[in-house]
Amino acid sequence: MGEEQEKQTKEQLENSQKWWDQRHKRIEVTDVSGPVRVAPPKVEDMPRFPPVTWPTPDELFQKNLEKYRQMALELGAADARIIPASDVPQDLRAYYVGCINPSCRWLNTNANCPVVRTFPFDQMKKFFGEYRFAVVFKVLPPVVEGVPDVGPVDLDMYYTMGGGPAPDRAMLARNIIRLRILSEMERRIRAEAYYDGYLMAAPMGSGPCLLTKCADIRRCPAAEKGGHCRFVDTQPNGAGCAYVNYHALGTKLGWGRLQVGGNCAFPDDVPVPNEYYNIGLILID
Amino acid sequence: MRKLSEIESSKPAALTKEDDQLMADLEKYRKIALDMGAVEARIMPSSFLVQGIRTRFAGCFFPRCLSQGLSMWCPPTWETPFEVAQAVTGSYRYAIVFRYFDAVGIATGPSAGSSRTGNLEYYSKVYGKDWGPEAEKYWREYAEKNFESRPDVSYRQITATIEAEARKDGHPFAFYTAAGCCADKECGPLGSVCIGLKSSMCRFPGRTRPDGAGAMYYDWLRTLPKSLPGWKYTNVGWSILPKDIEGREPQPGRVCVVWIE
Repeated sequence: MGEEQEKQTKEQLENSQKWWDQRHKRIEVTDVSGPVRVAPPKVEDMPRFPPVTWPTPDELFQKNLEKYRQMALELGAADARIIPASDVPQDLRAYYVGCINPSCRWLNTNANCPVVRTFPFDQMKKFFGEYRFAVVFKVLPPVVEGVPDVGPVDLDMYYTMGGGPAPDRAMLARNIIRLRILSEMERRIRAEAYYDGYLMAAPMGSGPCLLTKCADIRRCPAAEKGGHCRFVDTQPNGAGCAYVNYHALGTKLGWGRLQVGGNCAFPDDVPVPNEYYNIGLILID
Repeated sequence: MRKLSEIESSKPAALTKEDDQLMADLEKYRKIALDMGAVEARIMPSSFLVQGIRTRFAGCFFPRCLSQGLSMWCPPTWETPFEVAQAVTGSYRYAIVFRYFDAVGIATGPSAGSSRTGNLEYYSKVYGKDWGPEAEKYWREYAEKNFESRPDVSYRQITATIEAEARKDGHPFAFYTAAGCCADKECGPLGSVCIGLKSSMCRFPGRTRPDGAGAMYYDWLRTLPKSLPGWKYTNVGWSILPKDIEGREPQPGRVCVVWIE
């Protein structure tokens, strides 16, 4: 091996390790707060993945699933499990009661929520039926000044445009931080699976992408006539569009009852802070 | 179950004279594919293909494809119901399937989102003006430096030639599906603007068509191990640079299918 080639190989290995470490680093509040990056990073700053051959041999499947589970934990999940995809409960109520009746504040506001994006229930059942496993993880709200970041700050989420003074930007960012952490975790795990050759790995959106991506501009360009989404890492909402019943899922996995936040859930009122969580879900096959 | 190689080499017992002609035609199309640059080509019974609804949902929506909504032939504008897609492919007896290796770099690296044109206007259209002047300048320079050297894609020339030949030979329903978004390929040099979205009339009728995975539900991840063992490819994407896969075997590529009769 020539000296130049040897140097190149060494460099590639070092880079690979560097990107690997970066991809598995715990996601902190500071990593996801602030304006969302829209332009891709420069080539030298771009996360790199080693090339693999697809279709991936089936022998590696279980090992890779375990890798994604571990990755979720390393990224900051409180718990992560591998479950059969058929165990993910799907329920029409997740859409009908969760989004429509009563109307969710985010209904019809973005391209990844009903009514703009609606799929038939039977198609979603069939879609889940084509996967063998799902990686599911729970994310607790970040602790801010010693208490879980729940409660009255959520009030800002119900701010209606044109309905009074806009909330403080910092408060708004704090509101959406746990959803942003969750969506960043899903994005990284899905990317890992995709570059391992599981091209059909499908993450479920958690929360409206208007909050996780476009909170700064407070509108969805994709939902406007002739407009397009600014991002590639957004996906339809898991509950509203894919009918995932996260409440039943959390209970089934022994994570306790998923406590819903809201205007009236102060930190003192949350009896079991560990049960105030969000769920990330990625279908892999 | 017989091996595919056996199916290919043996003719079904109930062949009539017309079927003999069909087999001869299929063999001709197979040779066309090989002559035009396919690595491997086969005559396949239609039952070889696995279709799955996940190719539309995971491929186009979960997560969102960069091309979603860009053209009249991509979701959410276009949808072929799964049952219809199954019925269409089920009504064919044979297809020509060939394996094509892309030139290294054509569908990998930072241009993977618009591998055929690699034009910055495409990104600008999708991402609006949020990139900022510095990022715009950087990526414009990158495009000018790197995309010129990318060769044109010719797998579509192969599929289009086979389709045209088959129609001339009396197989009027021969067809192929696109691979990817036509706004990116056909209308790429025109700024990736699909006028069909507004007027319902395509600029390039006859050349554009719905995507194979998004509209016809071709599930190659399942089809290859089942029906085409040995057909393997190197995975590509935005985060794998051309230099990462240079000289790597197997090369990145695609599976192309033309339905004949």
